[in-house]
Amino acid sequence: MPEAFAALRERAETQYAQWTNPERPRIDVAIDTSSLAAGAAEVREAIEADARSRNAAVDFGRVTGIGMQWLNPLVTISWPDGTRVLYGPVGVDDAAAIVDAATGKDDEGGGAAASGLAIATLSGSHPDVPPLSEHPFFAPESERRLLARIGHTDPESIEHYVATGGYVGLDRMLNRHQTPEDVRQVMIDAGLTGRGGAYFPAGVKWNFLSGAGEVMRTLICNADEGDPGAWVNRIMLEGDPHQVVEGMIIAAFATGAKHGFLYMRDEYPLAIERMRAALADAEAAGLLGERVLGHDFECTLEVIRGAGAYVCGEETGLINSVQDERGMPRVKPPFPANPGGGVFGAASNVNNVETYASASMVLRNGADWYREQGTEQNSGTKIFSFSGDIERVGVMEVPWGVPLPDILEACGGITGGRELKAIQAGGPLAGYLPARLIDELTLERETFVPHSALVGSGGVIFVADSMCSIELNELFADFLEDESCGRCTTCHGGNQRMTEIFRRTAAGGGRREDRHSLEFVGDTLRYSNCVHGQASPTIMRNTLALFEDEYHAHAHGEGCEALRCTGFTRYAVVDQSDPALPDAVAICPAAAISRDAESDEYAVDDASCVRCGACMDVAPRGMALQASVGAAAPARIPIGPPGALQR
Amino acid sequence: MPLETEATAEIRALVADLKPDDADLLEALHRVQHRYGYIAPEAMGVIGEQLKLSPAHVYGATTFYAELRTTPPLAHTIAWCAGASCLLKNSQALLRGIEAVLTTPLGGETDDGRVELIRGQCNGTCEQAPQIWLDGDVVGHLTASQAVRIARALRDGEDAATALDGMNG
Repeated sequence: MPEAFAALRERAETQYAQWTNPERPRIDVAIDTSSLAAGAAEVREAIEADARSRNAAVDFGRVTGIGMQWLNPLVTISWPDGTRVLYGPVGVDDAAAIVDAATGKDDEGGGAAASGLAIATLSGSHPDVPPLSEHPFFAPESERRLLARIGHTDPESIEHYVATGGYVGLDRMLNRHQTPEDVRQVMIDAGLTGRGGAYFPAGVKWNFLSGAGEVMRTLICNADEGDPGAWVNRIMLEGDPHQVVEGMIIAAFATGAKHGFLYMRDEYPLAIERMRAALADAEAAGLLGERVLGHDFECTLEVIRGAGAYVCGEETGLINSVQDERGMPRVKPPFPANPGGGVFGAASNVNNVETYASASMVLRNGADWYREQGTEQNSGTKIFSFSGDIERVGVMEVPWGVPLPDILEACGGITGGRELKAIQAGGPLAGYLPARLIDELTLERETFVPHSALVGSGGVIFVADSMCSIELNELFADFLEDESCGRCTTCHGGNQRMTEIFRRTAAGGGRREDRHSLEFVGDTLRYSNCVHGQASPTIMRNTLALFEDEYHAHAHGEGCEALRCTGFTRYAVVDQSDPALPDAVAICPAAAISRDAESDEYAVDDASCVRCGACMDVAPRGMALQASVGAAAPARIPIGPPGALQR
Repeated sequence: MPLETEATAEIRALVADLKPDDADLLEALHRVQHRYGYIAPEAMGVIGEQLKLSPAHVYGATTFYAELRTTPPLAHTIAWCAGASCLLKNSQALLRGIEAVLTTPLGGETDDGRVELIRGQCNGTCEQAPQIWLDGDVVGHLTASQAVRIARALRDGEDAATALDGMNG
């Protein structure tokens, strides 16, 4: 019944108004996976305990982090006049200062004690605290659309979602009798493309399912975000789950599906918890069920919790995983939208979290509005996560086409006085490009493709020159081997070979024929069934083509300039007068450092050293990491009995 | 059908509401692992009966996923983050130190079967790099010497809190 939604909306607006202009100051500790890793739960406990012990007139609430992860844990204070100030990093020891700031105890403006922690105002104004938009991290952003609610609503409140325009588009679609064709066409007109990394037009994909004929239809949300360094879906799922839910309901209407699965990554427990609660709240509000908002339209959704398999991010692997099987990608055709190609013989449409979330915005605001952001070829905004050797690790929502140098600048540049060496965007299957290309790169796939790389699903890692390309290849090849489903010998065998070659090369055992072998493996991998195998050699190929000197130096035993590869480095005692040398002896896990009783000199037994560097942590003056060419590769496990090598 | 025991009856009750061809297998496996810490062969049999799947099918699916385990969990787990951001911060060196202390490669366990060293997957707390998860909790900005001390404490029978207290020497 439309009346029910109107009532929900009225209640929601009242609640949200009370939240934005609270009766007493309110302290919101951001709770998300990143902030919890930084101790946000302990900080919240400390602040609450401090407020209780002093009978402070404050309340407590909850938000998610606004994307500035290097400043976690983040805390927001909201005052009755609607002013909201963001603080961070807030430690347990800052609890009293935060409570003082909230109660305005130490000055009229509220919070000189915590002013050192004040980052920015989120709304209203505050003496000496600039608005968030002036923070350099947000310089590349134009308008937060997907992330509009992040930091400004309680992610666990359906009322907050509704009060900020949520489910309004869905309600209007049903009340105004928009047709499924209309809805699909809006997506096409908006130019909304699949955000999982393939960027196929979402409306066209929905047309496939719509045209599947007389067959059961299901929707799937791919929330199995597995690329290392990408956590854009996590931000959406933890911070604004209803936006994804609304997008799926809209997609169900547009495609004739009645049921949908949200396949969520096991490593995201908080996202799973919040999504399950969001589904329950949506059902209670009549937004899910046999008659959505009282209309003749059935839509139900359920969460499927994955169990740790990168290859389930491939849509047919995901479908198999949903339907009680091993998550091995299928041989296509049939494609998911074909009869028999989806879950349990149905026809299915698979889209990424961000695609569904974008769809709900497109429906609410229209295609023209969506196209206001982005470029001619790529409309709208996209969430990216930035990490690696940068000062500011976090998440931004940017319009397509932002130059990558601008992003690096916003991220505070490279840490530790180092130089940018490479850009690794889009996870293990997408590419590895040298710093010299950065001026040609924008956040748009078209600028990556000419260099045989992809922009991918949203993770961008800035690599400093302290990193070695061979070590990086070893890690990615190992990851791809580990995550291969095992169907194709080209993939599980090919990635195994690639791992072995890079591991041996890093250990100083490169051979002349390796380059040929790597190229051969790369060619063979093309014949794998799915994209996991097909794209596995991308980073290796980029390395051979664009980091040729570095590969050559390793393969020919000349050295590792970054001093990272174990076959080209050694630890040595360089200053016998360092009083911390006995500590180095004590910390060494391989008992490789000893003192000669006669000469009273310390020395490293290179054959025993595992190159962990613990000695340099404790005796930075006495110990040094040096280049070493031509030494035998060190033993990795110096004293392991055979029994330890099982499993 | 194998003899019903108290354990199998309990597992049967745990998955009683789950149905065949209803996308319930992962849910069943998660429930069993949540309750018992792992998925024993007996549990696979019961789940198979409930979902009309052969034990081989259940075993095949179970062993496909990294987060599902078929052996009881050990006293302590060090999950080493295999992510790229941690790699840039020299996570491989930490791993070499931990492996040397525990005398096991990644994926193995100590001789006494108390501490295991497994691969953890990036979940986007890259501002903490390099990191491990000690019994599920993030320990970030880790140095090699801290990693060695944590591993030593666990190896020598200390609990996780003591290991963390002593990680700075």
